[in-house]
Amino acid sequence: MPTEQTLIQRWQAGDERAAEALYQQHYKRVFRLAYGLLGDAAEAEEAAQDALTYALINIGRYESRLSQFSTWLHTITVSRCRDRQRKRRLATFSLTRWLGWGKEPAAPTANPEGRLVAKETQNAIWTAVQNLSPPLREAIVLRHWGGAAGDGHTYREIADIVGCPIGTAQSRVRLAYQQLSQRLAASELALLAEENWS
Amino acid sequence: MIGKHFSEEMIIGYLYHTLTDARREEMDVHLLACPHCRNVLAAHEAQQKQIDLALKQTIMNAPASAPVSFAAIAPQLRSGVRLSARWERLVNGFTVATAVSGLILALLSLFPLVQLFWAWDLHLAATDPLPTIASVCFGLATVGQFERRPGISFSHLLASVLTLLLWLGTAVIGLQNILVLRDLFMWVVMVQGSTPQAALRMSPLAVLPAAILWVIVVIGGAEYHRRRIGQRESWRLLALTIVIQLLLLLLPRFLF
Ligand SMILES: [Zn+2]
Repeated sequence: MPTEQTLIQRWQAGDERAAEALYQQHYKRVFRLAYGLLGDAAEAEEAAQDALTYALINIGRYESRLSQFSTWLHTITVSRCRDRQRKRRLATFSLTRWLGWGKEPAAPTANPEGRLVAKETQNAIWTAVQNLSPPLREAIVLRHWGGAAGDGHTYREIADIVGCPIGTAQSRVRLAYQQLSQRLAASELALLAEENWS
Repeated sequence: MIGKHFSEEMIIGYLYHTLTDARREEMDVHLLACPHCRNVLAAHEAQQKQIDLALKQTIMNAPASAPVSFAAIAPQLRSGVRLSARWERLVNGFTVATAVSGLILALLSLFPLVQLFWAWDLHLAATDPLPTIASVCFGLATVGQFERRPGISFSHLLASVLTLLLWLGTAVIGLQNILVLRDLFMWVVMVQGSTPQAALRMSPLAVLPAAILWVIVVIGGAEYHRRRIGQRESWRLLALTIVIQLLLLLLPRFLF
């Protein structure tokens, strides 16, 4: 199997089969990142396709010396997701949403009953993440997911991907965590209260 | 118990590896002796773990349908690649051409100044449009670098060439700026009632510090850009230099 680097070089030289291989190899990861940032599968699919098409068209400008291919792809994906969020905000601006009464993002597909509590926490966390401001959401999602070793990105990579200094990337991650932690504490209290009532 | 407890913010910094090594070691020592901070850290660690798991699980279980087949985007790719290459050549050509023209204009504008330096003519530096036009050219060549689409940068070679051109250009305009500063200085002296000859004799008081500053900025700038070729910080410094130079060039037009 050809390495990613060979595939990139072959597509830079015009071999369409190499482009197809790159597309297949990276679609899922790009889609998942977009899903993490947008919280909506249909939109994430469009964003992923956009980002990959854009990346493949501009492959001539990708420099392996400057960044890993996946980091470069993530840069493009984050920017595509930002565009979408901007459009979404313009299209669906409403007072209730602005005041924070908007409907919660759809919970991901349910698991069997057995892991109900874990599932509830997971949904609470996901909702809280989706309610963060876009820069904080980008930072926390990238810190926990999408890096090379199946783990998160380094701060250097986050800074490159979202286009900010390293110090800013670090403080965004910390701030995102702090906000999540506060919201989760609040939602856990609410859950407890509900259990006591019922 | 050693000293005060650490703030929650520090503990989160510890958890997310954003502390400096010194701070981290300081905290390691404190943690060994302090059960309170250990508990706070443990609670945050558990919560971080939960967030980590929840994010990973939700993202990995994202309800994806099959990706759009490659065949569907292939035609778009083919035309896109052709178009983007052509567009990029055009933009790059335009940028470099603008920078080169700016540099030529800036160099040409130096000739009258060589004579001017020994004579007295308050208005020449202020009325010669060449340096201003050159400066605007540099501005155009720089502005384009900020609006590049994500992940798309100049090739290293092109970025180096453009940086070199703009650095040379701003150095030349810097000489013009020294002259403008001298004119402004002499103007102030003459407003106080001195003769032009006396003002000219006093002008080294303005020219010398300005010249020293020029040398520092030119050498310092070269070092700064060399380390950051093609990066945002480098374009930002160039843009800042160009704006300041342009304002200095325009200043006498408002005063005289
Ligand atoms: Zn303590």
